[in-house]
Amino acid sequence: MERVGTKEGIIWIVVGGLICFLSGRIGLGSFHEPGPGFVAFASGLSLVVIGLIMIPPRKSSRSVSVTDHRADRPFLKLPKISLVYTVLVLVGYGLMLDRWGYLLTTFLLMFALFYDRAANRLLPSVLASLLTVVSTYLIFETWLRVQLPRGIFPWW
Amino acid sequence: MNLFHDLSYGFGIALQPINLLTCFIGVFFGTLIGVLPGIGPVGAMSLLLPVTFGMSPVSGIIMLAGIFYGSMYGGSTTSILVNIPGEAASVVTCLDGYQMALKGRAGPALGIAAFGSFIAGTLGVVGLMFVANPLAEIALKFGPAEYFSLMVLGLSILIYLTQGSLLRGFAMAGLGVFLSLIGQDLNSGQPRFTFGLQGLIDGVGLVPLVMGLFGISEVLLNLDSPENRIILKTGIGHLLPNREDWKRSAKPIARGTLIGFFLGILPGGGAIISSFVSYAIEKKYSRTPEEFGRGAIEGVAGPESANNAASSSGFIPLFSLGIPTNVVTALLLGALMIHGMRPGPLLISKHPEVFWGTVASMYVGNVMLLVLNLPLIGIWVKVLKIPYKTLFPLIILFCLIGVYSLNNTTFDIYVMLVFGVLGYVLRKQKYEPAPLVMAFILSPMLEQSLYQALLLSDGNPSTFVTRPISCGALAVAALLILSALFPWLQKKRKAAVTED
Repeated sequence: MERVGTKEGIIWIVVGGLICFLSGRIGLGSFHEPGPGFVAFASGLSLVVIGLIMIPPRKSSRSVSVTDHRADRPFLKLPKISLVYTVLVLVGYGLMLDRWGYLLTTFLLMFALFYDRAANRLLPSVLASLLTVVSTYLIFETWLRVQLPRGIFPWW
Repeated sequence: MNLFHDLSYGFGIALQPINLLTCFIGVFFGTLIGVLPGIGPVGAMSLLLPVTFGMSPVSGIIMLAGIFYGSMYGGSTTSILVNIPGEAASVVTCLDGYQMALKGRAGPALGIAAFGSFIAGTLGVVGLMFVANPLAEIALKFGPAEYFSLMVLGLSILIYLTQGSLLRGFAMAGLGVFLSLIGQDLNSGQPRFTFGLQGLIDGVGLVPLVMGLFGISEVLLNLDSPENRIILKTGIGHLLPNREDWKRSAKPIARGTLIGFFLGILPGGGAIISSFVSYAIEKKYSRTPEEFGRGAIEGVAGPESANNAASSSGFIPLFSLGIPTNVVTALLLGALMIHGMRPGPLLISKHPEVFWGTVASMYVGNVMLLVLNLPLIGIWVKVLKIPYKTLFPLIILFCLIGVYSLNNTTFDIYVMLVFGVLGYVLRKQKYEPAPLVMAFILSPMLEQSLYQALLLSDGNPSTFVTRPISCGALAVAALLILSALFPWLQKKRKAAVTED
């Protein structure tokens, strides 16, 4: 039988159990009259079953031999700083987009992403950001008529 | 004779200068969108939908349809050159297309993808023209039980064909089913799993989910492990496949066309499933299955033909029954309604210019794509050779604009980010996002079919096994699911699907 790993199995059991619990709260119904939680409960139950199958039985050399040991590493190693930085910058973009508008927020986003800290060169990053903002604004707002948020520049 | 009269009438419309222009814009923009990772045809069509409001209905539909099948062409380019699928239907093209590119055979891979797409796309349109009505009548005879079982089978096949652990594939599908159920229940009107968030009342958007799982997570993975990103430094080489390539690709193209055409008609089938099924069949029938995943040209020719044939045949239920088979045709359905037309059996008789004009424009569009794309591949390659530190902010920005422009809300940006991070975590643990996305797309239809079937059978679940088609589909699906549990079936599967 295919086995994957104990930690993954437990995670899926918890996720599936939570889905089953939430489904039960909104109503499962019956075969005659399925409720809004009917299919969700089935999906949660399937996750619990999958999680149980993933967990290798103890003292079973045969199962251990086919276990994927990659899964028994820590589920997630600490990500690199550049990755965390990018995610945080994107969260900030979402927070400020409506307030500051597309032009300013996107310029700052592009600068934050283009800027090469190792090279420490400001001008190329500023120019690239400016070029990106202006060209995408022309394409999407002016040509394709996508309504981008104006923010602190209501006349644009 | 009537058919050819109608077709010539369609060509009269499609060849009008304004319609030629909209067709060109559609296929060009579609190809560009297909090339750019992170933005699929759904996002592109959403972006351009408001532009069509000022056009005649036929011009608008021609342009939107052009984006759809143009993106199928373009999607293969990034799959082959940078191992990033431009859109979901090109995921499977990465497996062998990228390996061919690494071996210095990017040119033939791109060439056979373009020729296969052209042949399949054109034959798909011929099929659409000839067999629309008879096949629609057969599909009409399917009840909810058959639809439910066929969708379960489609999902099971997709999971079976994903690389790596089957259990992980099923787990992703289960998660996809749950995510699709978030939002207001259409039957009871009751909000489900929204946790009080207004943005979730309409459910999790497909575009933010797909862009997050495929676009943002890909960027995050590349940032986390930049050494894994192999920028193609070898030349593209000759684009025209040699005689041996053609010999090996002829049958896969033919089979891919048939598979794509018939799966494209079924709800939930379409380009994604057909490309995976085509890949599995090519591998099964190949004399050298061990080459699959290592640069087999059949692994490019078959799936690329299948997804283009499916993109043509997907129009059959839309035009003849008014039923969309996937998100893209659902968008086209919306566009038709915005233009004041009522999709359904009467569309062809009441608005023949739209049906026949669009059909004829597909012939024209396929020729345009072939003529334009082979010379333009050089331009796409230049776009892709931009250093990643320059490219990734642009990919992120296109994703952000695409997602924001759907509903003009930053909530969708957060949804995309959440799925971007989730996709990153899951992909690091060798989970494939494709089963999740497919389950997400199919589940609302699956749920409706389940409820209708139970309603029609007075709550008797045996209706799924007493109807022959439904029973057969479920039996095959069960076999595939059970293969996760038995080692001897696992071995057979590993022979069919390349392991990492």
